[in-house]
Amino acid sequence: MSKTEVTTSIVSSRSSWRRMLRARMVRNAAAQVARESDGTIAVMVSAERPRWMVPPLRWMVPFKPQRTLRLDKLGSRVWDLCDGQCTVEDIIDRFAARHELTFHEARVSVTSYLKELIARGALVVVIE
Amino acid sequence: MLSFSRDLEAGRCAFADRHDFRFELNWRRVDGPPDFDRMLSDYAARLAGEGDGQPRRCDKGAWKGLSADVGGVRTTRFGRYFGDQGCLVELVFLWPAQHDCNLEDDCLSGFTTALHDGNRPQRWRAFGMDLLASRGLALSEVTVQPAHARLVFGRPTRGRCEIFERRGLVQEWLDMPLGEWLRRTAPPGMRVEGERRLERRGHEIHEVRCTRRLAPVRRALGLSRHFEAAAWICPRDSRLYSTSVSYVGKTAIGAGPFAGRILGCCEKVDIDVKD
Repeated sequence: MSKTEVTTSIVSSRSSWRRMLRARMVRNAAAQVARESDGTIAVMVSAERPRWMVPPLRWMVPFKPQRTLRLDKLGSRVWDLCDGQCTVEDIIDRFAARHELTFHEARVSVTSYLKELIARGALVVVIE
Repeated sequence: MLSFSRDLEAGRCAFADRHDFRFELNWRRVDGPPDFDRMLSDYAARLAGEGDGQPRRCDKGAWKGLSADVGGVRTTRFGRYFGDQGCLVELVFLWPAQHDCNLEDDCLSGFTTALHDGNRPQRWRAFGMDLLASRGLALSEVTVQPAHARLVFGRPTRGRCEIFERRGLVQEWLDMPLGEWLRRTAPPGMRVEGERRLERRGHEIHEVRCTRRLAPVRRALGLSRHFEAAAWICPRDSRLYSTSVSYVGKTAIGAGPFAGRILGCCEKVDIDVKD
């Protein structure tokens, strides 16, 4: 890849970078949230039966209509910040300030965690 | 820092801030000084051919530079050949907002190369650590994760090995006294020979010294494997700094004190090269 191509690819990724930072995280309204005594959070997410799960596969593979995600202390704090108002940048900033991390250290941790929660159906991302 | 290389022959480090300002450092060993004028004119011609705007030369001191709008972003690129190292260095700045000439000048004028002197300890400043590794030890491992940086010099299983670490989120995972945690970092089979706690300018430093008996043949020669380590939490950034030295020898050499001698965290526990 030439230097010009590298620079161009960096430039083209900038808009997605900005959009990611400005996105808002919204909790799945259908999810049930239980707060444990130690401050951690359990999020119960309903799951639809996959289309491919038909008999006879359906008789052999157990299906749980509700999945429980148990968030640790750090995850619970991230969840608390996902109120639909804070942007991803806000969440990263607050997480970094609380734990005395740099912006990029917090960014890597927070965004990978948010991705996981999105993949598991606990959060949705709103990009304006 | 977004990416780094530890290859001395060729590599890249890239830095960025949240506002898209980006700084890249590229290096490559070359046989002789390149023809910068030709390189830059070729690059300018390519940019012009691709429709990017107004490439123009912007040499600063010994740095040969070119400034252009690439993809709508002001980009300045500087190259310089360091003859003592036989190394071609390129610095690239991407300015999404205003072109900060002062910052650019500071980066260019502050850039130096360090000649590796095999007779002196190697000084490294990286990932929030300032450290002195023993002469002759090669950097064998670099681990950089959020809130954890680790540099290893030498091989842990043979000869001398030095490990330097900096960890964050301490209150989230450190669930025991620091002295006990440090003891647990010793490799398996090590026997604790001594511990001490000292104070240095507001830093409470824990040190531990361990040994392990070796196989009979080496034991017959009076050799043991020694492990010496230190750890402290810097009150300034609340990070846990730790360093350890392991080696084979007849007696412990007493590698410590570590804080401020081979690992520094802040200006209060700073490396003093004269020590």
